[in-house]
Amino acid sequence: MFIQETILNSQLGWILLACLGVFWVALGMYWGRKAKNMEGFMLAGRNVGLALGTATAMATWITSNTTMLAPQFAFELGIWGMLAYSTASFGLFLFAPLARRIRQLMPSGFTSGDFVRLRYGKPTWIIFLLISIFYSLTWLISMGMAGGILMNALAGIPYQYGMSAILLVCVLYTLFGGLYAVIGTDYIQSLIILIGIVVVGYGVVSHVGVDEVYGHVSTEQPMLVNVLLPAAVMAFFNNMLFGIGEIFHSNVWWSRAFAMRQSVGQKAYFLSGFFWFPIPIAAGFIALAAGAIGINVTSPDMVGPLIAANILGKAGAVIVFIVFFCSLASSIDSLLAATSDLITEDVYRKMINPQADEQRTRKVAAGVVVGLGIFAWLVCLPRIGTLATVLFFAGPMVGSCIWPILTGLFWKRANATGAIFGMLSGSIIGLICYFTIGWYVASLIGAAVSMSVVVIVSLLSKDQFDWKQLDESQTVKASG
Amino acid sequence: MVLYFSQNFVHVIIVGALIATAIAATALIVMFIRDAKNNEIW
Repeated sequence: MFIQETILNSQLGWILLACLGVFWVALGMYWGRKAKNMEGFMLAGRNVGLALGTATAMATWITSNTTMLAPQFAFELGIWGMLAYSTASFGLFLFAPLARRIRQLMPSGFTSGDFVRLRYGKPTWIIFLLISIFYSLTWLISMGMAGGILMNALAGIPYQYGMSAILLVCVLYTLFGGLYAVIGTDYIQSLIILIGIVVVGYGVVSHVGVDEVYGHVSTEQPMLVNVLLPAAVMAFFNNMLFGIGEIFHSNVWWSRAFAMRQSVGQKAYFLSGFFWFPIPIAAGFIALAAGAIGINVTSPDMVGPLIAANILGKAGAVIVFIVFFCSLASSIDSLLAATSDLITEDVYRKMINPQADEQRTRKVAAGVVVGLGIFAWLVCLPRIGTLATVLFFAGPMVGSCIWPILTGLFWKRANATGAIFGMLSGSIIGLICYFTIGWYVASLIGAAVSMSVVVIVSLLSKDQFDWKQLDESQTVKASG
Repeated sequence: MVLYFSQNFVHVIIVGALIATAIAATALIVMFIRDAKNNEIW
């Protein structure tokens, strides 16, 4: 039986970390030269094409939580666990028509907060910002933690050092290049991730074989191939709604919808959903091989890297290290950029200093990127809980945002009362279920409660929203 | 009665997922080349 030991020595780990860090920061500086103004820095000039648009949507959604949690899901919940994780791609598919509608209704919009403010007014906007910023921070922290765990699992780099290094690299290139750097690096990172997953998956299939894995699992842990494993079936729907809620509300996805050319957004999100769907299965199934190989897994969130590195040896461990670094970086940079936009645009420019000029705003945006990095670093320092615990805590809150966003974009009768009570009731009841039943039902219940409230209140209302109010360039002209 | 996923089903979804991931990587490269030819990258 193997014991858990690092496959790369820490010296090689540090060398890889330094090379990758310098490479991404240099690319960030190179692309950052294109960001001549605030629109360039925040939205990459609103002219992103199909290839980069598809890649950035996909790469951002391939987080450490895909490459590390998908194996954990498979390890704990079996076949349903992998399929459950794949349903997170439905959020990308379903966001495709929304991306088109967002670009059409808000040609000069900057953030998801802009939409909620213009559509529902200030009280709803503030609740939405609290949920959205809280979720972004939770996600950022879960990935900072994942960075530390990964470096430690693969190369024996102490958790605190690995976590600090990856956060520093991402802060630097996001700071220099804004969304240009984020989207450009996302394209390269997505290719590395996809190729790496295929290489590792092929290695496992050729080394152990699917039939041998199945034979071992069905004998030793038959519940992992049980069609009716109740917790896993709940996780299937929970994860789907969590994914939809996250994508619908988060500025990470809205900023990309604003950044892509009008004709590109819908197509790019649709394709990214297709490309993303198989990834949790391709990355997750290797965890099922743990028993057949004889690996003793003491920490479930390390199962993926450990098995891949054990099977593929040193060269494989290098591939795994690079893939995991890319999957972390592609999401951390997006979160830093999108959350910085939300805080700069919605909090600073709209609430604190509406008269701020472009130069001042750019400085504030840069300060917010650095501040977010420092905040995430401080929270990540003590390693708290597992990745799932941290991430899914925010699930009911994002689940409760699905319907206020969806109805707000397409239904004139949707109104602020429904949105506020939908978000609050969904979040509160979902969180109660999170603590009393389990994480695997929290988003599901949060979304269901929010849907009921939003739909009932909208049906009872006689409001007829004027869509033109969402185009701020026109409303500003009219009022000026 | 307990119902289990069949060996064939598991085989198909795992190998299928690996092939689909390889296709996704190829498609991204092809799309990039097309965008570059049409000057539509950014």
